[in-house]
Amino acid sequence: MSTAALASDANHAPTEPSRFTTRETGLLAFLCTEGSLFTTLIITYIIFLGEKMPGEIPGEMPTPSNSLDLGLVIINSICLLSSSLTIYFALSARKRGAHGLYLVWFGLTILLGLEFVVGTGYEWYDLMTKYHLFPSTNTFGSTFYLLIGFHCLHVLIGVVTMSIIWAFDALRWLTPKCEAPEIVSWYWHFVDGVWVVIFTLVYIVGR
Amino acid sequence: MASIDTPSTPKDSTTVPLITRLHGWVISVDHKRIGIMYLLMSFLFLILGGVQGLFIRMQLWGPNGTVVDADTYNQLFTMHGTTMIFFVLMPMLGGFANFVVPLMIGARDVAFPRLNAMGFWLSFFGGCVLYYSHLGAEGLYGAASAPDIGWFAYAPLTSPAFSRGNATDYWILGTTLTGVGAISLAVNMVATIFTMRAPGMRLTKMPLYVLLFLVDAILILLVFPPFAAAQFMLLLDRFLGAHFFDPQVGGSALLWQHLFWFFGHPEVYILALPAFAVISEVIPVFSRKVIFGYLSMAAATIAIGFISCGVWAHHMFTVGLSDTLDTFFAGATMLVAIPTGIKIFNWVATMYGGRLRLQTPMLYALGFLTLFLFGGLTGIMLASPPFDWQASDSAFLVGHFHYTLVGGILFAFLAGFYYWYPKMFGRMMSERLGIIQFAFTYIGFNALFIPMHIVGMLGMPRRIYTYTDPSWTIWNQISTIGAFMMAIGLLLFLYNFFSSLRHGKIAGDDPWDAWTLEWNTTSPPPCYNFKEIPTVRSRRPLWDLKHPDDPDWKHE
Repeated sequence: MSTAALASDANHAPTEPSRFTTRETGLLAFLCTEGSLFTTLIITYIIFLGEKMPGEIPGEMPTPSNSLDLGLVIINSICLLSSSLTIYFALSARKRGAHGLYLVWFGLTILLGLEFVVGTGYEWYDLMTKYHLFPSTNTFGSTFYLLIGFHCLHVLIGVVTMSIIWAFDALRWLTPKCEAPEIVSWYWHFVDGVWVVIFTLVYIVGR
Repeated sequence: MASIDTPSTPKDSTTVPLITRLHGWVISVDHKRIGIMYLLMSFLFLILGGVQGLFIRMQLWGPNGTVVDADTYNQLFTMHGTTMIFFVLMPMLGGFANFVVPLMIGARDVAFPRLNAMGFWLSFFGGCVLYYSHLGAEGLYGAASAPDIGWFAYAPLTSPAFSRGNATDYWILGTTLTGVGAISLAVNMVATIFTMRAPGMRLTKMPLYVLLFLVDAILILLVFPPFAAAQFMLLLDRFLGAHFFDPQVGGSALLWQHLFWFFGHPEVYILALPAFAVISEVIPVFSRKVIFGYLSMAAATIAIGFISCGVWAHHMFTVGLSDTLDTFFAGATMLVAIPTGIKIFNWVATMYGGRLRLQTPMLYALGFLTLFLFGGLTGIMLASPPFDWQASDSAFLVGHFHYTLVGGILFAFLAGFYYWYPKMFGRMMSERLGIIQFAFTYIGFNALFIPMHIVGMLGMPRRIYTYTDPSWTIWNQISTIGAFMMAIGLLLFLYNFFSSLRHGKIAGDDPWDAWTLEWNTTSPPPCYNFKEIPTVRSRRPLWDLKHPDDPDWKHE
């Protein structure tokens, strides 16, 4: 009795072709987890939206409407969302074999992501110095820094990961078949998609 | 220079120095070794959590017990619960997932071996972080040395005001780390099961074991992140003065309960599905029949996965939610009984008319059936809010969930240990010791937990460090005697496990005459599992091979 006997069996049923590669499936599973994480954070933000401290005088405490500034955030959002487009151009260039063009678009994506992180830093600096909004100020502060912070952390992780891949690819250490750029782009699109939800909730609906 | 035919590196385990062999385990990314390490980790924490349980039982031996003081008692039940859930049952799950699933689907390893190793070491590190609280948690205040917040850590017990020192922080970090480990395990399982099955093994031709672990992994992916998010909020509360769980400043203590139980209840099913998986393999093999109602089993599994995500607030009936919510969650909870009942009927129907072989794995599987049924029935009682208002936070509830978690899940895992031990180590565990151990564990378990139901009905709350009512004494004493019997049983198991490594009967490749692919390779399997990846045509590929005249695929 050996495995050979099993394998040599004639007219065996074919396996269904897998739609995704192993790595893609792994990433999709990971994104499910991330989706669950962000859903929790977003629900928490909604629960505490408009929550006041007992005995709070209106206008005394920072709220979304009196402290969130749209200007910088819109610039950040444009950068982040257009980076989804640039990474798409980068990958289609890579598929065509246009290595130089790919590196340019991919590098641009990294810079746009970096702008978002730095921009968020400036936004937070303003909130802390001008409006004295800290996680300990009120539940708006707690939930705001938690939600935006978690998202920004994801952007930062994406920037670091993409930088490593960019450097490896610039040195031509990765084979053209390597799935890493494709997979990091899926992650990047996910982070961008989450931002659309967060931006709508925090800066439009909740403001 | 050594000639070619003299082996230059002796592979015999007796000649390789111990430190080299241990180093080989530490750096290993082989799913079988990681699986076995998960199981060994669960043994370590089983001993720790078991000793804590014994101390609890000794303290409750009689009224006004003085074995430990009230603060220590709080730490004991917190550490006992956290250890048993996160560092005993979860690693057992990880062990059985890692060792068996790739073999059963005819894969050479899991999808991401290094991620797998990282998951294991994170889980283990999480356990070490939790236990480090005994040494490093006192902080500046000389406060509690281990977490004393209960395993579900309700606010405001965890707030800086009520939980000084760093014990709670070690609890947060330890459980979060092991949660990240569980997520990496689940990512691995999903990718492995979806993309690395042997040719011919369609999703509908997978052994139930694999299907159940797939659903289990998806549940882990969905419910561990809310728990991690809640833990982060708690950390922010404790370190940055945030107000998530502080009602005085607009926060919500109830939010913690929702987030925790949204994780906590599916977690019970995350632990139970692997137990069902083991039983779904053991019962057919030892009844010599194909599993009854494969499709209904699969459907019931997926139904359990779905429903388990919508029942969490039955842990919160006593909070005072609205009647509408109570009704919804009571109904949803009772709904779980249907797919679970389908499973139990299918297992019984599999045994019906079969040629039962009452060897140790089957003994434990039968133990599982009786005890899990008992736990399930008391679960339905507790699902009804009026009853729950009386019995919640009583010893009755403690008895109930120990029947599901220990009587159900641990017994199933013990069946799994006896069943796959020959595949793991190439030797059999002692049948005689196994039967003696079964007697001790089964009788001890029932002696330990049946009285809890009674004394709970008499009004004894859980988590009290002592009591004065003399009418509770006799039940508590029976419990304590049962606890020690069970401890003897589990020690016998550990002795059996480790002594059989050297003294067990040589097993051969297929000692149980089983039907799934893992028995088609050597025991223990080589590091590449299969010389040639087998082609599968039915749910019992080995049956086809052994009975070419009447293969399964003609009937499925």
